[in-house]
Amino acid sequence: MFGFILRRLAIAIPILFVASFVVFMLVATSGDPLAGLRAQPGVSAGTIKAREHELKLDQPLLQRYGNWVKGAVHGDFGESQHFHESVSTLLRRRLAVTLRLVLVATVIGVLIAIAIGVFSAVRQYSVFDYGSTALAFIFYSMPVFWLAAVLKDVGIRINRAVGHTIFFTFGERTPNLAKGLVGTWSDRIGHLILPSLTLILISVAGWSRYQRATMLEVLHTDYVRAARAKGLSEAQVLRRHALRNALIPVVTVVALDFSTVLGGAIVTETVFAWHGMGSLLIESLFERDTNVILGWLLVASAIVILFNLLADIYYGYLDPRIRRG
Amino acid sequence: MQFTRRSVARIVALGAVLALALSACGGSDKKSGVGDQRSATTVAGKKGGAITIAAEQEISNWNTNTSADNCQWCTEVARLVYPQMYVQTPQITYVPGLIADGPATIVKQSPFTVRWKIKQDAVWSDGVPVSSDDLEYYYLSCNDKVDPGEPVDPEDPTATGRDCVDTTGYDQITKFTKVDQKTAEAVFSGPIAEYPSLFSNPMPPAHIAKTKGKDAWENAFVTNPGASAGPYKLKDYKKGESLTLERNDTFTIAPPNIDTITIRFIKKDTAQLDALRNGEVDLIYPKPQTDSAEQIRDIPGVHYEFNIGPQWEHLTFNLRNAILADPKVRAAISTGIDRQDLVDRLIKPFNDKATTLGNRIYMNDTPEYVDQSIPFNLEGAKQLLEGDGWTAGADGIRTKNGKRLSLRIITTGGDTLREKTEEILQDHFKAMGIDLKIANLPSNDAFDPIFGGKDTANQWDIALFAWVGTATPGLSSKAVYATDSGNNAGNYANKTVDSDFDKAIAELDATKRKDLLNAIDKTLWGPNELPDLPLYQKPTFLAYADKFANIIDNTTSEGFTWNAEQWSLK
Repeated sequence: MFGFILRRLAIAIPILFVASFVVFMLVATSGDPLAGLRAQPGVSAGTIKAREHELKLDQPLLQRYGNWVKGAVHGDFGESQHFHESVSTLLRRRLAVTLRLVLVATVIGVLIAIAIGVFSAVRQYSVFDYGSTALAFIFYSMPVFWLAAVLKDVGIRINRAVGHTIFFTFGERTPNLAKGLVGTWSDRIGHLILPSLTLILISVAGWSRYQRATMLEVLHTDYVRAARAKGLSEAQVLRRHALRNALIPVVTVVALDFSTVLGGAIVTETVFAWHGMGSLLIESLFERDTNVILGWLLVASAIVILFNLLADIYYGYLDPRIRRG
Repeated sequence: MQFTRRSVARIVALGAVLALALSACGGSDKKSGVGDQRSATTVAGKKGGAITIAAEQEISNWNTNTSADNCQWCTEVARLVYPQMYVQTPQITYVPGLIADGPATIVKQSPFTVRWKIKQDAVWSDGVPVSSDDLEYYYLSCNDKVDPGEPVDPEDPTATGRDCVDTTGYDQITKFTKVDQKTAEAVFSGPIAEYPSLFSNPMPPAHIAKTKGKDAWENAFVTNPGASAGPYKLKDYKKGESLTLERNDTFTIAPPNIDTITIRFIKKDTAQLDALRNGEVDLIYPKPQTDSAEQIRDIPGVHYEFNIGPQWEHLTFNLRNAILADPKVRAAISTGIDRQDLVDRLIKPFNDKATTLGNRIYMNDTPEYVDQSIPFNLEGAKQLLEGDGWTAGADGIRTKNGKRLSLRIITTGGDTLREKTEEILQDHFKAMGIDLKIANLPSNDAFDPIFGGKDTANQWDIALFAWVGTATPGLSSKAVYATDSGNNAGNYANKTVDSDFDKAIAELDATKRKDLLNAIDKTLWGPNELPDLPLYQKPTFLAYADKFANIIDNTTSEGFTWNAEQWSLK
């Protein structure tokens, strides 16, 4: 397993280099970050030249990329020209915000999806199965931004109906809140509910269908029949023999889908005005903030690779044959 | 134009032309509609309370006078903390700011010398008096002919000064003298009529900058203003999230009513509207979209108003384009566009007293304004084109010597008001027999080709964007229309216009200056000129919880925070 992980990492590094080079070239040649400044009246040539020098726009492209790589290897992703702070600090802060949203949505989403999938498979063609299937298709086909906007509207209506703010529509927390631990936590949760619900509903829709399909497949295998024939209780059959095997493909899908959830978070963060990785990417793209875009790419890639590795490790736990291999 | 930092900076600083604008209309003391910023009066308000504002941009530096930090929202926030010697009122005049002891005065006509006085009780929150040192520091930073002794980068010999976003006026100062602690004088290279605009931007504290060493102007105030000499001071700043200001108790000149102002950063206007509806913020000031009125109308407990601002939309013609280089084509387009139709369909839903703009230098509803525009005449436009050899083809589009009369229009994609304008213009152009193709770019990219000079001149034909009217229109208008000026996107050139601008800028008599500038505008409306076509002034959109009083929109570059010390709970 350890060798496998090392091999996977060895493959990931050149991919990251190539990706960073392509992104750097695309961003650096896509336009002039100082075009607005040049068009402004009263800005002297010296000022523009100084800004060019400060942003290293007066250096050849390859040299700029080389400098960036040198810094990145040492954990220094440079300064953000738009946010005026170190990219590392910026990424750390924004990542914490996004991970809070994405991890909560993923963990809750997986648990709900597994429960729905298993129950639908065990009670195939029941009212619950038909109902969950219909809802899954509805949410699966919904654009994230639309679902987010609908949930937001519903949240505001509920708030107005009860005369109290339960659901918050933007940001991660209320600033300067002096309400003690309980107040702080309820404020954080109030801010988290709508955006995470958006991601959960979209994710559960797909994952529950996948869980249902794999569970059905496993329930019809010989070893499950054998387990039943041995006289094991239905609960034991489902938990030890069916679910454990049915989880392996789902874990793969969840791990691979993590990047999709991150993508969904970009839209969700925009709608709910969360200051996470999603809004950071969008703003940086608009401002052609090359250093931030490159740093973002590396972090996002590292997360995707990490989750795939975690999935590999988890296979080992679920399937001893993989562990031994 | 999207309100991103760069585009706003362009609109605000760049923008320029004209005496402010604002038309206002109707009554503001009602839930909706048309604002009346000019006649609004304040009432005695209660002390105390807090207000939360949604801002679409985060302040990147408390010193907003650098090229990287001069955004509309940055200045809106900085002026709550840093002092301004002069401010523009909604009435489009410069008046002394809270710390100024009267208006700037001309001490001598020759050499042209101006004196500024600061109030005796103007003091920074750390106890240091606001002084002529602060004025000198600002002047040194914004006169790029003077080396303040702090090269931006020793490796770059061309960058000898500090990074100041607008050196206009300061670069004509030949001698600056600190007369005493509260008085300063400057000698200019020649008469400059628009001297009242000097020192009207929020000024950082010189005494702190001087302790921060090299590059303090650019870097010393990025996260912390250092000290305050305005009604509020910084209490808390969560980068990327929110900023809280509290009453500055050392500011006794005009103590504010509201205890704290929290500014939360929300980029999307729809998210701002939802936050206002949900009571999470108390005030929003987004760019109005075509459906803004519908969205705000049903929110209970909210006052909203649409004022007409100094940002004026226009079409810049690219004179490097062979078709548009022909003045007859420009004259035909300027005659055949029904500008009133645009206003009726796009602006009147916000403000029913909106009109077309018929002057490039003075805004509607200012005393200096004269409508000098060409009246709409579709038949006349068609005749002009016929007379110029453009004959209608089978599809109604005209051709000349086998060349089709087809033009591209570019603007900031995603701006619904502009996109709608383009759609209506397509109909107007089609009626004249001109094919108008929309070739928009995202808001941050659209200005690259427009202001890219001859290198990018083949990428656009007509550009739809805004300039901003100011109370000091001469210098800024010159920047747009002078030969080879950086803002002269369409490459217009007329030596007579250039010299007329120089005369107007040096004319100290207000009436004569007004006549000179209006004469220039008249020239620009001439059939052989027409470098651009003004369309209309854009509306502003202010909405706030109606429990607050004394919030008055100021559609000049000052913005709505200009009188924050007067805000109060009802």
